[in-house]
Amino acid sequence: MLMLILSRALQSCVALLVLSVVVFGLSRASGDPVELMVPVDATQEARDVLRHTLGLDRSLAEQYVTFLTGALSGDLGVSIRERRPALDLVFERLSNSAWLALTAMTVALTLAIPLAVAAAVWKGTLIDAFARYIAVLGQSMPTFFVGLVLIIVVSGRWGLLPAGGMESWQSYVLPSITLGWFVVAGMMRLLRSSLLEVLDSEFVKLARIKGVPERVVIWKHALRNALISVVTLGGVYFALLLSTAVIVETVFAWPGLGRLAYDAVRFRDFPVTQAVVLVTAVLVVTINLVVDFLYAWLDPRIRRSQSGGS
Amino acid sequence: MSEAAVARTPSRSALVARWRGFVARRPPWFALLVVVAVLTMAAMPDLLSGHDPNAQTLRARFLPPFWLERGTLVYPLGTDGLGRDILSRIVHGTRVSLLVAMLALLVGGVVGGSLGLISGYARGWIDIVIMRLADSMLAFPMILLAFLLAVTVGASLWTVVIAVALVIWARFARVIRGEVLSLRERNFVKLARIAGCGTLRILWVHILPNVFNTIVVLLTLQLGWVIIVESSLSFLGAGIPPPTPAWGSMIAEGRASLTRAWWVCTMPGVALMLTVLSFNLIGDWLRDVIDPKLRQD
Repeated sequence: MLMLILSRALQSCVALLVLSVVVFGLSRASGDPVELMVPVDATQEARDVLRHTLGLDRSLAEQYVTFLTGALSGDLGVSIRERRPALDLVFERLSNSAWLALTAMTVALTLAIPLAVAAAVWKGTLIDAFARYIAVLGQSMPTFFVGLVLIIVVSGRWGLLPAGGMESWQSYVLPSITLGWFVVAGMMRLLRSSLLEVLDSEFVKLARIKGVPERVVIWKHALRNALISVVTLGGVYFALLLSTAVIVETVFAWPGLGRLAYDAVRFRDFPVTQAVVLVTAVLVVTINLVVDFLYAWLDPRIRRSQSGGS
Repeated sequence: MSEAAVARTPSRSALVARWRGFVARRPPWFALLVVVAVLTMAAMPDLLSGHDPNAQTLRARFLPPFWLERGTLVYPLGTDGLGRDILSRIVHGTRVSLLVAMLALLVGGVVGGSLGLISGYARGWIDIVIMRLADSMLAFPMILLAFLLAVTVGASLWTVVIAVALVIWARFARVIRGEVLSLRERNFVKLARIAGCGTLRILWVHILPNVFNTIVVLLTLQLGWVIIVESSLSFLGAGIPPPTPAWGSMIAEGRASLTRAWWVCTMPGVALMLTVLSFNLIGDWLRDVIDPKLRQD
């Protein structure tokens, strides 16, 4: 078990290191930010001074080492646009994105669980077909389009909810539905198939023979076990939500991480770009690690099969 | 399967059985129809569009679709803020969106598939490296990285293709590797090795044909997703540069006039959705017919 933890943690560190090189390289390749910062008529001398203070005149290897040692001590540079520590900007926005991800996940679960249970219990009926169509439809609708249609109909036509910003609880409704809807399809399919598997297992049969009411069998015995498969993919869902958040936050003018990344990339503010990507990566990797350990800890069979090589 | 006995010649009977398999699983006719229409639009855009997609007619700005008041059949799906015909732009955008999607799928499929083959066949540390790489790709917000890449290198057809390929190769690698892992233990591969076949020959002649079905099914299933990723990049402004019409960028342009002219962004969105939906339905159907192993339930 200890070996498993150590090797997984080591692999995650290597993955993060590789990513840091990629991010560093990409953001350096995106053009000279100095040109965006100085007035058009600035002298060459003024440009050189600025380039020197930003450390852009040193070799790439040197810049990378500075960047990495800084990153390890929690210093990811200063935003070129806002002249504030990049990490501060990221943490200011992080909670906004986290709240959105949380409400979106709630929306996804409240839709996916009943649909999956209905589809599994009434397998092969119209209800099952309906759930299947919802899933295919969910996978076929681009998030930004769902968001725009919701804005047109709910905020525009009906004038019910705000179309953007983050003022009150009402601002959460549309972005959460948009973001949540995106993961419903995959989650529902997964839950349905694992429910079917559990419903077919020996212990469920035994429970039925013992005379446990069907309602308890489904909602307590079967669902609880089937949910493990969803929890296992928790890390993947989280990464998906964060990734899609870039789009959703752009559509709804949500002051979150995704929006920050979008602006940073467009304005070549690479300390911020690096900070967003790295913080996101650390979050995703950590969550995946925690999920892995929880899973291994909960289920000894996984523990053994994983240590034998995946 | 029992129908195979009906026909006389074995090759014919196999074909008949296969055809029956296709039909018995009820092909999604509607989806096939949409795909044929979409492919025709991509192949011959001028045939189906009455206007130049970039021609601006300022007197005809924000005309609604024909079924609404003020709408005319000259511009069946209405016009945008520059008076460009939306239908023509959708038709011409098909080519760009499909071209990018297919190229990206090809690049991602070839790279991912090859890495999967190597990974599954070589095992050992090569396998570990490739799979960890694939895992970190799958776990990472790839749209963000693709966006970063597209903006960094500058928007062009190939940047978008590479950016999208970067997002999808890992899925191919994972699935193909799994198949190869079990194939390499089968007797025909072992015998080929004993007979002195080189590694490349084994991979090419003995293993690749056996994972080919899986690759085809994966390609169809991923096509819809790839179209969505491509349009998301266009929507964020990192796609094919304007004025070339692409569905994603059309939707993004329509945002500015959302309250005034809803059809500007809704029409390309519906086209996008119908296309992706059709590819997904066909992918599901193909998977059930060709490769039941991949079925989720």
